[in-house]
Amino acid sequence: MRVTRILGTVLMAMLAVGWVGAATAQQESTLEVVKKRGTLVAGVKADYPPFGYTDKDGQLVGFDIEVVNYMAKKLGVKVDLRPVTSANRIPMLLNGTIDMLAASFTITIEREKVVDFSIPYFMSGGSFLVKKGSGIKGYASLAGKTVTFTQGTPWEKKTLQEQPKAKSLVFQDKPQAVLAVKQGKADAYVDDDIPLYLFAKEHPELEVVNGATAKQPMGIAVRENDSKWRDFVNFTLIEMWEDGTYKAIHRKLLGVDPDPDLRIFPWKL
Amino acid sequence: MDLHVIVENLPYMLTGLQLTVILSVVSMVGSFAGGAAFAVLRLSPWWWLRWPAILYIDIVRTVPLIMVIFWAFFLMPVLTGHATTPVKAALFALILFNTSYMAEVIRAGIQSIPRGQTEASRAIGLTYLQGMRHVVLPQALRHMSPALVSRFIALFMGTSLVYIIGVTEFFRAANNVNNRVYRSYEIYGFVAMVYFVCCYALSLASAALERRFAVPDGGGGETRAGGETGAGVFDRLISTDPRRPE
Amino acid sequence: MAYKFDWGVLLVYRHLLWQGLVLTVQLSALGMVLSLVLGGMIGLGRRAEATPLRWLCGAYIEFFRNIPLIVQLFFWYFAVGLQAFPAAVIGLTVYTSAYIAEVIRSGLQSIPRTQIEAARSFGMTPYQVIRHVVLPQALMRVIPPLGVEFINVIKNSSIAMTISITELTFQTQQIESLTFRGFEAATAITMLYVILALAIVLLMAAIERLVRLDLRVG
Repeated sequence: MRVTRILGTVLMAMLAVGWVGAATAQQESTLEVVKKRGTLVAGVKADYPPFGYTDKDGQLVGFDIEVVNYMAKKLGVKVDLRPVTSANRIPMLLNGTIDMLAASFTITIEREKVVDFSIPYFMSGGSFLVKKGSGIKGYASLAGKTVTFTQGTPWEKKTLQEQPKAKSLVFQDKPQAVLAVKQGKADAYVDDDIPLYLFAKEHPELEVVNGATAKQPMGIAVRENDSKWRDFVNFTLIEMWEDGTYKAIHRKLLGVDPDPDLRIFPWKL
Repeated sequence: MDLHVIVENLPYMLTGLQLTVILSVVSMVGSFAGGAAFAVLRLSPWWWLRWPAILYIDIVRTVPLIMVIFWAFFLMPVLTGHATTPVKAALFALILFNTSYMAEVIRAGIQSIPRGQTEASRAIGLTYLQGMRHVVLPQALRHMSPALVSRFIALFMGTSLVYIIGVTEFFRAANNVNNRVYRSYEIYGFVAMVYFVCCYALSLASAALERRFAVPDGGGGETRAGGETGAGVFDRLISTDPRRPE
Repeated sequence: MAYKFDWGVLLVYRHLLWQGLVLTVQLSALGMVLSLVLGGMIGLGRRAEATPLRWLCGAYIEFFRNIPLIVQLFFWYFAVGLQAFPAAVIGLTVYTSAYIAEVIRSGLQSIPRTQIEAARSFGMTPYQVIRHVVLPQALMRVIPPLGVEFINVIKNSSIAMTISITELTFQTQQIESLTFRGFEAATAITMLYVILALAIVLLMAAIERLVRLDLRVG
């Protein structure tokens, strides 16, 4: 009886596999699909200022949203923003729900294996969010401490690599991780620096300590084997830089000029 | 206690509640249809129809709803061949999950009608279908109604779990607010109150239905246990209490 | 999207699966035991002579049954501020105890009053009545639905992943985010849940057999 049951589960899983095989590769480029559809479906963050978050009226705003709006205007289509979490953003891109992912997505080798990245459009380092006066300076001081992360970000792996003696605490949403530090459940929260700065601004008892990693590039992710679409994204990013829109958005949302290390345009020959 | 945050963000959260209601109602209807189909399969005399139904019903009832939601998220686009929204995936998951429970409720409801009713309806000259339509099904539905309301309550509470795939139903809406204002006591207290009021009211309705259409041990077969409830696995191996309609 | 299956990830990350299993079992076991005790008391209280106690227990049952577990967990963890594991245990216990109280109550209620009256008229003391008339029958009635509730505890433990407990369902996500192999992880973990449920079924069957034996001998 129970053998049958377990076999049944395996059978169902295998049926699913059969279906997977039937899924065909995309013939048409996403570029055409989006133009035809008249809407650009983009995955963005909803809880991650300043890249993507909801304002008081429940509207999605942020840096990534501005980039997406720019792209949609270029295509002459409407925008459909889909909130994603760090944990579900890749599946949503891969399964076709969204056309592009502009969700504060750091370019890593692991990710490059399953998606294609645009040229970098943002530089961000990793930092630690800690309580003021905690004395935490870097990975070394995290030995034996509890460190919190958001599920789906590369920081847990990185931290445990650098400091195997740290204990980890994983949440689904970033603000929940911040709350954990506030409530003393964790000694530090490791994530990208920009949102940490904003969190620290909101919570005066917390501060940001740099040094989790060197600055890393963020990219817009699209599905693999779709050069037309990726080229469009890249060329549009370059345009955005050249006509000054990028700098304007950056100044408006972050209050500072873009990182001088960031170069969105390839060298002009 | 800063009730201000609740008042300020009420419209946004109520939009979420709207979606919760829609998800619940649509899933209920969908899973009723699916459940009826599987109940029929489950009662079928042919083993090759019966056993797949039993497997489906038993396995889905043994797995947590969150897992089913994840499964739906991975599986649905593969099955349909193209894109899916979190809302559609959530509906798929909820219907997939609830169908198995509904199948059991419906099966018990059908079985709670004594044979004599069908025989009597044939005796007075009604065809099988007429007998079903005018005699058996109305009674079966009445017997099932408390259990159906119970399942709806469980479904209503279960929609809070689709929060993890990003659907902006009531719970996620409240979470989005809390992630901005950090007033957990007020926000989650409010959420708890809303769910309590809605579900308690529904459970009173269920109790009223049970009083009106009282059947020994109820056509529903199982009381609303645990929100995500029941274990057909269990029923299969142990059948002790003669009052349980097994 | 062509999906290349790679069941090897389950082997590579078996330590995650193990950690998930351990946590699920720990959380569920504690939840089951504690909620049985708490629920038992509340269920008894629901049948008490004193109306205020009856009403209080009734209110407890209705309150904690009609609020989704995830909301309750969030309350204990984020609002009250408890640590993750205690919050999960308390939340799961309180939630489940409301359901178990109902099970106990209806089990007790199903014993016809007349039996108790008859037993008393035979001259049995209240303790004897409970020990020889009420309890044996109540136990038999209560074991199947208790089994159902225990399996629910295992399923509901999955919700604790949202407050950072790294149990089985959390590991589904974790393996997925590390390897992008959602299918494989979900399949393995689904089977683990089925196995756990079966364990409870066997456990309840054994308990039932023990109770039956005791009935015959006692």
